[in-house]
Amino acid sequence: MYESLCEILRNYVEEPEGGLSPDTSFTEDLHMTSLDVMTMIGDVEDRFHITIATEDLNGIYTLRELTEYLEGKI
Amino acid sequence: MEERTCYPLMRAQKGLALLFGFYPDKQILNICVRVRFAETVDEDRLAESIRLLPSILPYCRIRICLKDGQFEQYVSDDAPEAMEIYDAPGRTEEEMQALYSDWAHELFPNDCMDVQLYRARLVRREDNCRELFFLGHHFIMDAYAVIGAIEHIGKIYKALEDGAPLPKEAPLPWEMVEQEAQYYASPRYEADVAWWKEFYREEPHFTSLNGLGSPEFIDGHSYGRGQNFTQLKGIAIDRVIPASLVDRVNAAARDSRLAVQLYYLLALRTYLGKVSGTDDVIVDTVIARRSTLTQKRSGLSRANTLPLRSVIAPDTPFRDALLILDGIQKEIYRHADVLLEDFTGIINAQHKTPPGCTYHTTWLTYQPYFDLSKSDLKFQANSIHNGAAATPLYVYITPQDASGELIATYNIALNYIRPESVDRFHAFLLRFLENGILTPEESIGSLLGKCL
Repeated sequence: MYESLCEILRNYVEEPEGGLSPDTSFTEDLHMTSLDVMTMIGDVEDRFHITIATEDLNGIYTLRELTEYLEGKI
Repeated sequence: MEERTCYPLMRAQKGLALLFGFYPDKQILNICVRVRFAETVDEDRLAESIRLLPSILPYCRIRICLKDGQFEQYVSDDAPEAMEIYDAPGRTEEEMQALYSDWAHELFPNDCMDVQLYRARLVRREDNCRELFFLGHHFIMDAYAVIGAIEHIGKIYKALEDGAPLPKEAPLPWEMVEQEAQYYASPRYEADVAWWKEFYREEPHFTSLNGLGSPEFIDGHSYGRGQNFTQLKGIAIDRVIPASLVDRVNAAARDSRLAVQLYYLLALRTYLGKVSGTDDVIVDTVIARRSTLTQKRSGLSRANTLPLRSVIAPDTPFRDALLILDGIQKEIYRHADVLLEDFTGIINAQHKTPPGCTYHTTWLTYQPYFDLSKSDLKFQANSIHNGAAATPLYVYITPQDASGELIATYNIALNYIRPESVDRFHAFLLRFLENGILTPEESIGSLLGKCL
């Protein structure tokens, strides 16, 4: 799951020096905008054939948090 | 005759054509920037950088043509037009602004067909002081792509100076064109349109910065119904948001993990609602719609205006109102690929409005990417107004130098939005943000009482 998310993420951002890590924050470390994040969530939904409610995204800021959320959902 | 492969316009480009009556030779489509260099530049190297630009950013080579009555686009292999050099020593700042304003009004030749759709002029001022005027046609560049072009001029310049390899060539946009075609044939597009139909189930309320009692309410446009604009005569009024306030807004957004633009959006929608007598307010947020790396590098116009409709009662605390807007913004961003012509169709069908009729709203965009203080070649870029307006009021908030302050540019349609309405709102904006950040538990109604 984590690797799949990293693969999706690499379509959106240049990999930072030191690479992506579970604690990488979408907005603080990768400087993604809210539109970037929501578009990426659309890709995640398509990849895993799931629907993610917008309110579920409150509290999800890092790769680890998104991975754990998806692991709990799939 | 050059062999060429033509591609259809993307939907956002078609939206521009629709919005402006299928005439691409409108000055409203000129996106103009004045670039001032923070260091002394070598004129020959700068000229060479500009000449090399279209080989690094192929979107600069895109041209449009008419084929069987439809606009199409292709990449031209023609050599770029020679960069123009303009001597302007001894000119005052006011004279320079007037000159740039005149240039911003200039149209492309041949009704924009089969011609280079950007223009660069190197301006010689005193001694070694050089400026650059850059104009991109909205069909092939939006503001994001124009700034990308200027950044790349800096990257090329630095590479030439250091004897380093030139930047890697950016991809052509045709992959985006293909992906978009796939989206419009997908169930996701159908679901997105269904979402917007629900969004527009109740007819929106009309709001205007002028407030109740102004002609646009009295003349029967109470719901803001109207035909798409072609091009209105407009002016731009710049007002400063001081750096100290910008810092506090940024810090509050960071602490709350909210997008910065939500603070400005809250101020605007709260004011519009109050002066227009409704809690149900639409503000169109203008977004570049560039999320993937390919989208960020491939140029063309992908911009869309997304109606952000919020119903927020006056007793809602400032911080809760921000959270409400955050949720709505995230939700509309999930359906951001539905464009103007789809909205217009939905409105026409659901509210029995005439074909082509839409709702006139206030537009807002927050464009932090105009900050070029961290680029390879240090410079600042100021947008130059083109003397037109596409909507009654378009507010764009941009940094224009490294001072930390932001400029709120109010692009108003003349004879519609009054300059004094802009001044009243701007004073409110500053007070509302100051107070709301200080006491986020306070209701927006109470803040309105203090700040109007």
